[in-house]
Amino acid sequence: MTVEDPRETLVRVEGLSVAYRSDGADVTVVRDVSFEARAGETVAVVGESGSGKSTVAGTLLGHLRHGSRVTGGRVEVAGREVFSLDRAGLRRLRAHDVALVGQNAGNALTPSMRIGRQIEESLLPQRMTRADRRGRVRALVHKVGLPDPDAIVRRYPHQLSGGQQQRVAIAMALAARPRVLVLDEPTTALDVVTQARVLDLVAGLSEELGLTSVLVSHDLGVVARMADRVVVMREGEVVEAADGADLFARPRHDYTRHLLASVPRVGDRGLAEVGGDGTRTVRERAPLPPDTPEVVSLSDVTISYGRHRAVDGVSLSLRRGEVLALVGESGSGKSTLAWSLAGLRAPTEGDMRLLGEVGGDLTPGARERPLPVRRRVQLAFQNADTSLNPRRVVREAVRRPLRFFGLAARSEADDRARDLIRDVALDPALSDRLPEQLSGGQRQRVGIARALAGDPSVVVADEVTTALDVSVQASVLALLDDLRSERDLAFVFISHDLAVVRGIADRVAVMRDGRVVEEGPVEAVFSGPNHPYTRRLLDAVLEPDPERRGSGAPEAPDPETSVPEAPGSAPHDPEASDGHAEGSGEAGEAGETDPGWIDLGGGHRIRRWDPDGPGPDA
Amino acid sequence: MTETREPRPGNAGGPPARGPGAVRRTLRSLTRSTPAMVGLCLVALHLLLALLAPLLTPYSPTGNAPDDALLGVGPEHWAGTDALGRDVLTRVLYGGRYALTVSFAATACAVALGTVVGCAAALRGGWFDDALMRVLDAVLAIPPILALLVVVTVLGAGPAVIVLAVTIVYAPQVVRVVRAAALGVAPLDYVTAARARGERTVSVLVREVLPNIANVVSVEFAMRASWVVLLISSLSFLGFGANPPTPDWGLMVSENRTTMVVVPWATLAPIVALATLVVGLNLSADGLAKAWGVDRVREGS
Amino acid sequence: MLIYATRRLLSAVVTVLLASVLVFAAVQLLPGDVATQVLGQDATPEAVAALREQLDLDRPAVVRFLDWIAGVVQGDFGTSLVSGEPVTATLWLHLRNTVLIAVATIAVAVTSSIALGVVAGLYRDRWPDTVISTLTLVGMSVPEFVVATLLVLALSITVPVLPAVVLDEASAPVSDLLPAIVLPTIALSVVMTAYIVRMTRTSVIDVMASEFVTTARLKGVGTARVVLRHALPSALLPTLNVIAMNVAWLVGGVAVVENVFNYPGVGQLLLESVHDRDLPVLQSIAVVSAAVYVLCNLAADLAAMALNPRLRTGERSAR
Repeated sequence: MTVEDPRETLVRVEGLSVAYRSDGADVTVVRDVSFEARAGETVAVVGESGSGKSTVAGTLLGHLRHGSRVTGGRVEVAGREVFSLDRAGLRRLRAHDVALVGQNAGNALTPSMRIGRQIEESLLPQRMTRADRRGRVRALVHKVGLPDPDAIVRRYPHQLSGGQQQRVAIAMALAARPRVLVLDEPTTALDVVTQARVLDLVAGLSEELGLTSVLVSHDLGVVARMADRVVVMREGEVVEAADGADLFARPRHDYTRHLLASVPRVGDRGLAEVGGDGTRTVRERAPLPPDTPEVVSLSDVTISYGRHRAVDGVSLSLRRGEVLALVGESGSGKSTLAWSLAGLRAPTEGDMRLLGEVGGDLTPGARERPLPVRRRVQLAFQNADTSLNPRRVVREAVRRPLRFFGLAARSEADDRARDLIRDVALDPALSDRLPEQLSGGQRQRVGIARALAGDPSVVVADEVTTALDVSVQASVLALLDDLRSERDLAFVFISHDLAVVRGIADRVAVMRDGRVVEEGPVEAVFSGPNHPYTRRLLDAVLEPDPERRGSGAPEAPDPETSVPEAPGSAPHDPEASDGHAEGSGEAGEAGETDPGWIDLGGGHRIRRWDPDGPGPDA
Repeated sequence: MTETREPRPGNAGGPPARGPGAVRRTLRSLTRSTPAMVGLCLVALHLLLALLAPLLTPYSPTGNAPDDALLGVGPEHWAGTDALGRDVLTRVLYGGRYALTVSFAATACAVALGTVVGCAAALRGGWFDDALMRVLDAVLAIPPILALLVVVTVLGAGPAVIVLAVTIVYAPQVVRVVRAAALGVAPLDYVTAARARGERTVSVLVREVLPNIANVVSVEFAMRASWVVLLISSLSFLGFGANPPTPDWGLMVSENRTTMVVVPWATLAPIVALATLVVGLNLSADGLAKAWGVDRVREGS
Repeated sequence: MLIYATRRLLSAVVTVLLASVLVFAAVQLLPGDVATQVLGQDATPEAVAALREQLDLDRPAVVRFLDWIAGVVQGDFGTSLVSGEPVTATLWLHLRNTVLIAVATIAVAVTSSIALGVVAGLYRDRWPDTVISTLTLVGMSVPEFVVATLLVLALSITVPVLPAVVLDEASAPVSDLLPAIVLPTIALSVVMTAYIVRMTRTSVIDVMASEFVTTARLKGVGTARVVLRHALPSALLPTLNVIAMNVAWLVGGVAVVENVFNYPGVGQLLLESVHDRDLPVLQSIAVVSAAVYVLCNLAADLAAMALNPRLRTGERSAR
């Protein structure tokens, strides 16, 4: 299984070019790419969207998207030239030597087949008895850390969680004992905590089995965690290739430097600004004056869908010009809460108020709110692809709220719309384009301009940078920060990425299962002590720094592999603070004392948790 | 902080297109596809022939000429004559007028009604949607021909009744398709943005939803038209559509069937006319669907 | 799963009930006096009065409907206005004859269309696909009466191997009818196959492009296995619904084709009853067709459950 000669080169890509035909012309997506991977090595191919990295990953298995073809160069895997193989040869290569783990196991597993069957299929080319195969499957399922192999093999894909599906995909890939493993964004679709666990698994197995891996990723944190060597791609070309440690410590190419500098870090004490040459300066965050008035206050907000409480008794407040980050994994209720604030769903219980010169009740839906109240809370969306009407020029998206809220006369609306588009650092000439003619980042800016058109005092930004490439993300974050200070605008910033939050937010509220489990100023939350759940989220953050490589694994047990959750691993002992929380009588800025909370002072508070209670993900 | 760093959007879709450019792109996609062009040409040809029918033939479509009965194909009568001595080609040409007008009117009514109701159901949701879908299920459970026959039995034959009947029969299917398309658009963020502004439902519909399902509606129109032509001709064939001596293709097939051995073209000519029109409509629908990326087959199910 | 099946069954019953309300309303509540309509404008007042009596028109519509539906549930479809005989016996007889054609058509159309659809989908844009798609297009574009007429021209007149018209009574034994169902079955199958082939083709193309099929291929699984084990179960799901829809169409198509061949089935009965304005018969046929349609959809749903574990296991079906 393991190769004797450690220097044997198992993957060799030489001068590879790939093009597809569009409208009668060849469009090159990969140009003259070369790299190699030796036995036991993990090589990462990293790049932003459109870099051609996934195309390269496919070629290692002899797979090209419909309409694409190799226009030059060669790909050699396990000593065979992939694109000169016939069908049978290609099938043998895929069955024995190279396997792929894709981005989304939810789509990669056949919905109508049992898990065990699908894994077993990879073993068919090997001459084994049925019983042996079955045994092998169970062993594999066990190996990738799935509980109760006998039960799991009988399940269908939809009966597993995303993390479990990805583990199945890994088991399926490893079943045939390939020598080369291609990982195409293997954890991008997963929550941070799950991501860390799956990466640990892959790293452990690679080492144990002596696998050669090619990891394709846009996430420099993941790459730093996994890779021995890194190949940086941009628009189909390799711009830099180096040893992992070397690349992160001393990036040579401007693009690499820029890319690295754009990644937000948990350690930043404010928003990082990236210079054209990739230098990085952190914009120090000025604290809000203590007498800043509140603009929004929520108390005991509950939003139910039938019997399910998506948001459960949340109380929060937001001050003028403040950025409050709502953090949590998917299903934590953060987006539901935000949409409710924007008037898209009335809360089932509780109170939401807009305060300031124009105050008002925010519990009714948008249509029932008086216009002056309505326009003061505006929403910006995550997905730049769907946030703008594809049939209307983008100026129209900004012009409509101006007219609708009566903020501009017909004659001046176009000019005002153009001004707003300029305010979000876009060329006003773009305002006559259709959304499809703009890049993702540009569209996202238009979405922000549309939110600004209502002249709001609060903007609810729902994962606005999540879908963007890291360099674009940095510039959009900088824009939000500028807008905040220029317009005294308050933001509810929803994100699952703690590093991003660290840079932009003044305060953080961590949500889980519809409840806020921790809330406080950004500094306090990031320096701890923390609720165990926050701790887990923090531990799972991956930084583009191989030095931090070992610490990626969260200490809490894995919910996919075990059921009971041990008591939280918070450095702070909750029992010890009882006296503090209950005895402090008049609490600090966090509001009235609540026996359910531990007050750490300065507005930082942590929900009490039951150390013996059921695990968070059980 | 400039935008120059950002990569251009993936230009996989060819050169950038503005408003009119989108139209141009559709046209180009249509003209590039041979089947779509054949389809459009067939439909255009039928329109032209129907319009110019009086100029193209010296005969009357309804006047009997017992002396000329059952003539074969010849220089006087290119497609022969029927049992009553009427020129078959003339009747086929005039028959296009009937088929096209009634079908077009019926399709337009069905698609218009279906679009309005479908959008309303998608956007209103709630009990209105539930109740509506229930009733539509019930209507769909009755086979179209049967429903048509029931309406015609009760109200009597005639073009107006047939238009009404076809509307009743096909509007529910259009509702289903349009509703599904509108439901696909409704949760998108730009619609959400309009709702968060508190826009009225009508305004959301007209500004945000309709422009984005116009493609589905157009394909639906072309496809329904082909079905309606078939349905109406079947109805005539059965003797419940056009009344004799109206020149109608379905009716002609039914009338001339008995003399098929003697003058085959009296039966075949209307069949060819009918089939080419429907093939043309089907090819156009396919072409439009492809140009706009609408899943015609699935939408039609 | 049981809950799902029960709910589905209940909703099917509701749909049939609603459909019968619609039919009843359309037939009996539309403008004008039903009796006058049936008998025509020149009918004598006595005849109209007699018919009103026979139809119970003096009682409120709701009561008449409930009466009628109660009868239907017990298998009593009322009395024919023309023959004065119970509708039930005639209806079952014709239904039996039509079921012969329908079953044969469904068997032929479903098997051939799935096979052709899969081939077209797998050979997308290559010659087998071009041939199949072209034939399909023609099949879709030609009404069933044309196919039937051309078949008569070819197989009864030019090469007289099969009867052009059926001379049997509705009550003829099944064995006598068997030769007569060949041409109607071919005529209906041609049109029905066309629609199902298109759906199957599209669906196969979609599924073959899906990530899970790509994954299976990249696992080194053979093509046959990829198609049969991975792709087909998912590809057939949308096809099932089209088949169910087509069965509804079949009831209409049968009317036309039976007319061409003078075949004594429900279609023939339908046309006669429309011609004679025999409302009880018309109503009965409509309700039976609706029930058939609903049953087919139910069967399609159950088959979908068999193909799709997501439905079968009833977990997280909404994701």
